[in-house]
Amino acid sequence: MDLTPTAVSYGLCSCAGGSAAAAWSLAAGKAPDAFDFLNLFESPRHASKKIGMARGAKFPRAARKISRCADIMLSAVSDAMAGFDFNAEELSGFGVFFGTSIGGVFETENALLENMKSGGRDLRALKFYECSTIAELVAKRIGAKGPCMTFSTACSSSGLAFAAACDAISQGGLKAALVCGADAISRITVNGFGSLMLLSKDRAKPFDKNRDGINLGEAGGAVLLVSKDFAKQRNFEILAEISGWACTSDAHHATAPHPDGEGAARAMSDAVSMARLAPSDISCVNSHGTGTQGNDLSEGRALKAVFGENVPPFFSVKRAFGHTLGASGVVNAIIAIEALKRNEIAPSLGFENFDEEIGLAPQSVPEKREVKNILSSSLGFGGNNASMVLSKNSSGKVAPVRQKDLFVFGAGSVETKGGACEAAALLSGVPALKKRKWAKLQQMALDASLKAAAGLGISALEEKTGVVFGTGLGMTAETSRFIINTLEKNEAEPLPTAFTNSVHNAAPSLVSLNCKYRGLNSAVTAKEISFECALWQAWLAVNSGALDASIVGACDERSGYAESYMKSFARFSKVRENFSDFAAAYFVGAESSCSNRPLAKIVLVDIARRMPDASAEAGRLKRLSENCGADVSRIKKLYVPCVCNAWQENFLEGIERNLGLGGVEDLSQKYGANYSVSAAAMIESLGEPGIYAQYSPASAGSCAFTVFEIL
Amino acid sequence: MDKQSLILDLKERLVQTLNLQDLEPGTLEADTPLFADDGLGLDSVDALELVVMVERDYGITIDGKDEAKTIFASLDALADYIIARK
Repeated sequence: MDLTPTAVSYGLCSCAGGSAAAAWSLAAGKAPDAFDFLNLFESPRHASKKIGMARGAKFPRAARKISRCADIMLSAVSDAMAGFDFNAEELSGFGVFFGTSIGGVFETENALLENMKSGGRDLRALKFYECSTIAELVAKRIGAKGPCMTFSTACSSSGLAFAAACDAISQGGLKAALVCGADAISRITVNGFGSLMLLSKDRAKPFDKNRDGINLGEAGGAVLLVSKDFAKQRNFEILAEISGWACTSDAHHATAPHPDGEGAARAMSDAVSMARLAPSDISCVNSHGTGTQGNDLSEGRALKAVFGENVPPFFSVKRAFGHTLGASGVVNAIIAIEALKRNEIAPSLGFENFDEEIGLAPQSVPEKREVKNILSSSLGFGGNNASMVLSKNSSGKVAPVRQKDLFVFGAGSVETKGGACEAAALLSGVPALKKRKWAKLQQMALDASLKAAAGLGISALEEKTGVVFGTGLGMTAETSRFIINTLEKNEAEPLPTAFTNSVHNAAPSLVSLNCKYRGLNSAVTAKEISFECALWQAWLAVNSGALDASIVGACDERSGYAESYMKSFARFSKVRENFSDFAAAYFVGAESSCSNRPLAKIVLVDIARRMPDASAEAGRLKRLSENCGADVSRIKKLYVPCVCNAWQENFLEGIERNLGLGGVEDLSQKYGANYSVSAAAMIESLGEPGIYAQYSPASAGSCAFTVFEIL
Repeated sequence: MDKQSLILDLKERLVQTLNLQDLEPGTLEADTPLFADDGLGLDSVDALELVVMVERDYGITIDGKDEAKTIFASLDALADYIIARK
């Protein structure tokens, strides 16, 4: 059996248009430059900036029901899936792993501007900002019924999505997955990077001595990954094997990369050793190379740390496409596949002057030569790094791994009296000066994480300890503060700190920075099942040996915008008066990761699309529990995060009846309604040994079923 | 405005802009290095906040990160920079 993840198809929509061949010509410098001046919205401050605007998206936007970002994404998806058919059984094990930094926020901004002009208060357009909606659209369009989740870690987002998909195929039982990544231009990205003085005045010059910043670009990329066995069984042409992948965190600074590229180097060398290769086996590197002073210097140093004196040819495609943010990981992977296929190394466009400080010159011209293994990296804000090795032929097989047990050693949550958590009560031991820039949601997540890890005899290495948080809506307060300020002041007086705090991974980054946990650092979003997706991701990482332990948690806030937004939907009709702040975190790991006696053991985390009716769904849950040795009759209590509307109430009653359970406990009764409240179940049952389950039917059709044993 | 009162004015704005209300008295003097670890220990994002503050409150645009490093070395250096451009 060989479960190596292999790429069998892809689609890319970028400034080069909708075809991947055109994208290669552009990257190789064989097609005319495809940049425009910023023309998507009026910008007094940045009208002279050049942007790689996506062209050739296939879907008309007449109805304006979907965002520009979704549009670009779906265009790439339809190319990637063209000519591929999957039957119902195959689709049941088909996942969607999406990466984006901020999804369809441009449409949200337009609606907020409209509100400002008309005095309106309609916040339904926040749904475009809610990143998970795009992945749900993709899953619906292709009929995928497996796990569907969104990773939002700024510029490494789709790098993390790629790694999660590879884990899911190689050891999570999935046959196939579509890895997606997309970001479109918006006011917050243009003004945010502008406020950080990271936008080039003209064009990006990656690795050049005179580089002065990034160009922003738009792209949607999709790669169809299947296990090698499945590719052979279906006779798919294998374009590349993903032979190694790794994600790390610098834990150095909230925005700046580690000056020596410590985390980036670790991601690269871990990916190379996972592929069972020596650095000298790497034919070339498709680098992150954004064109900022900080990134290129630290990435250059990381390359030297990994490869020593013999750095292979490396290049950056950021001049050609712009920095496509959350899409850049999948864009890089697609360019890497093209390089393997063509046996050609792309040039690093925009490079002219050697930088002594970096001490390395990238590839200057396109070059035909054999490409066997290519290393591809994406490095995000605050040192969030993802690297992978794509190979023509991987050395060795990936056999299924027996599922390792995952233990819970510590738990923590924040007090939410009356629905709101008081910022002053958080992190009482931390001096006010130290936390002066931390937003409330970040503080909530850190507070819960510190409680979870307090007093533990942790033997896991810091660099093999991860931080994985689920969040339904992310940093709504900081994001809306930045956007409203931009709109009201017409781009004057931007708020750099609010921008750096606006990313979905602001909370896990802060935890990593404070606890020095330098393994995988992830923010996963999937509405009501964000926590379960985080738990699922961390478990796979522990199972593969990439991590020994991890903080796993979830956090969401009751900001003015988040609350008004959720109140505008009928699907939350039963919890309108009950929205709350909430954060909880657990310290989890392999049995040997802590010297303490574990509090609980995770028995099952299953994420899938739910069945349409309650009795069929109950049958599925019954089978799942039996398969993991936790017969339904042994389940002491079934938790549900919150019963939000009459439909859910009915559906859950049906599940309860069919399973013959004594009772269902609605966590929102005690903790308030919140996308993250499913993280409360284990805390709620601690100290009362037995087997418990939690079932969360999320509003977009996905659901999570978890079984855990309190020891 | 003479330099001494400009420095006092800047100190107040700096505390306000960077949320430094809990600073111990005496830790921020005219010659305290703002960015060194043995000084105030501010970081690059703080510097960007100060760029916005100087533009808003004194009408002076600072262009480029390298420039910002010298301008914000201390309150004294910042005051000199503002006086030279007023």
